[in-house]
Amino acid sequence: MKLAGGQFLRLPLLILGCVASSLLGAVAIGVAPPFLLWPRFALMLAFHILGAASFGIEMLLILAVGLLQDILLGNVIGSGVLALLAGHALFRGTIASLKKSGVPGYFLLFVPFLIVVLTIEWVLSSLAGLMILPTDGLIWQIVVTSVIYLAVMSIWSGYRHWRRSRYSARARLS
Amino acid sequence: MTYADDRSRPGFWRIVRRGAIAGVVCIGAAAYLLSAVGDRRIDALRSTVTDFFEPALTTLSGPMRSGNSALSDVGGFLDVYEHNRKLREDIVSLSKWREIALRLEAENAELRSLNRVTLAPRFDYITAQVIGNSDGTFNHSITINAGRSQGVRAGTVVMDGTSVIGRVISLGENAARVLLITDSASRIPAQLEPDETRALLIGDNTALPKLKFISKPGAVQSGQRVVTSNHGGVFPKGLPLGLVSDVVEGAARIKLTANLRQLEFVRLVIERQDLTIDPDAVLVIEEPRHKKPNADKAQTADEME
Repeated sequence: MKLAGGQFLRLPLLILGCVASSLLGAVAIGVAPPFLLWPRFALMLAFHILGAASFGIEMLLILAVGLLQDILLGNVIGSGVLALLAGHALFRGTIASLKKSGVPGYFLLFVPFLIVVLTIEWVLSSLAGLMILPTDGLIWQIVVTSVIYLAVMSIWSGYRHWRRSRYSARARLS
Repeated sequence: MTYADDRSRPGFWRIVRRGAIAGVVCIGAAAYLLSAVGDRRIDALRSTVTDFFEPALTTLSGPMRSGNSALSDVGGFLDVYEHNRKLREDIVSLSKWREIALRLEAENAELRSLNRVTLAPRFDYITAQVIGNSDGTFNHSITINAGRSQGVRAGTVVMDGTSVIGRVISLGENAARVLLITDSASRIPAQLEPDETRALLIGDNTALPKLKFISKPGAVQSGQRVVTSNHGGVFPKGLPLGLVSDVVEGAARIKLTANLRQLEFVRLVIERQDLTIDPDAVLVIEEPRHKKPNADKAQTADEME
């Protein structure tokens, strides 16, 4: 079995995407917690990457996304990596099978993936701090990230549909 | 290429993949354990990475802040009538305080001139920009663009201009992480004014941190001012924290005076180590002008008062 060259060509782009989404999740917008709840963009990207990458590349990406998120967001370092690993182990087969499904299919799988990843992070953070952290933040983060994910996916799907119809119209004309 | 079962892959790649999984699990677990016990190497890693991304965060935070302030402006425009009414109320109440402040300032100036004592400034201040923040899920912290090279030290107190918002917990060359006082890991020695009742301000990831271990629990009342105390030596004494908003048995909730809804710049309070009295200052004790015989003792008592 040969390894597709595209996998390695895509790797720098994927790492760049991981870094950009982690930075976007940690950038200041002029409001500080507790009045701020900013979505986890990196988890949205990780969800899609886990379904597309293989041959150990996904492990590299899990490490990059998890560590960067933990460092930039001030979480317990390592908790994000372990949570993403658990999410990957539980959902990897299902994510891969979603390739042909539309936005609702992705959304219905993203929500449980998010719940699993964030709950594990919550448990690990609570254990590290030797206290039970409030669940309000956890619940709101799941809601906010899910809603933003749905919006992003709808926009992306609409854009792809528009592009496809434009190309087919051109092809018909030519 | 999408996922395939490990069994369908050639032996070499299967080993690579399994090795990668084992490696990531080991790295993740080791990092977690070291971070949980507060290992210095993990702190150093965090500082280095934050330092590395500081320019990117500073660049990205500009347009994000502009977008947010544009949205706030739209919101403010819609609430203009309500804001106007509130401002009128504030003007009325503040004019009273202005009179009091002016009177106290004059009195203070008079006393200073009588003593002719000039104290060197107790604090140095550094202004920094907020370039990053946590997402508010598990911890409440911000990243600022000032670090060791600007004179910031670990534990430096951070204010929003008027009130304390937190302290520096992680320090890089040009960036630092600030733990906000609302974070569940935050513990600040505080005291209530005016009777200096001691207490501990404990964050719990909500907007209203708790005041616990109050030395005189019965004496706490709503609206009392809470300031830092210097017990433990981390915080200087008397920096404003907030007002008591709610008193329950043995504990109280504090409404912070810091405005965390609008946090673009912060002020870092560096306590000066070389605190001295100005060498030119002279303490002058005026001689009594009209000394009456047999009334020395009474005169001294009056002066003391």
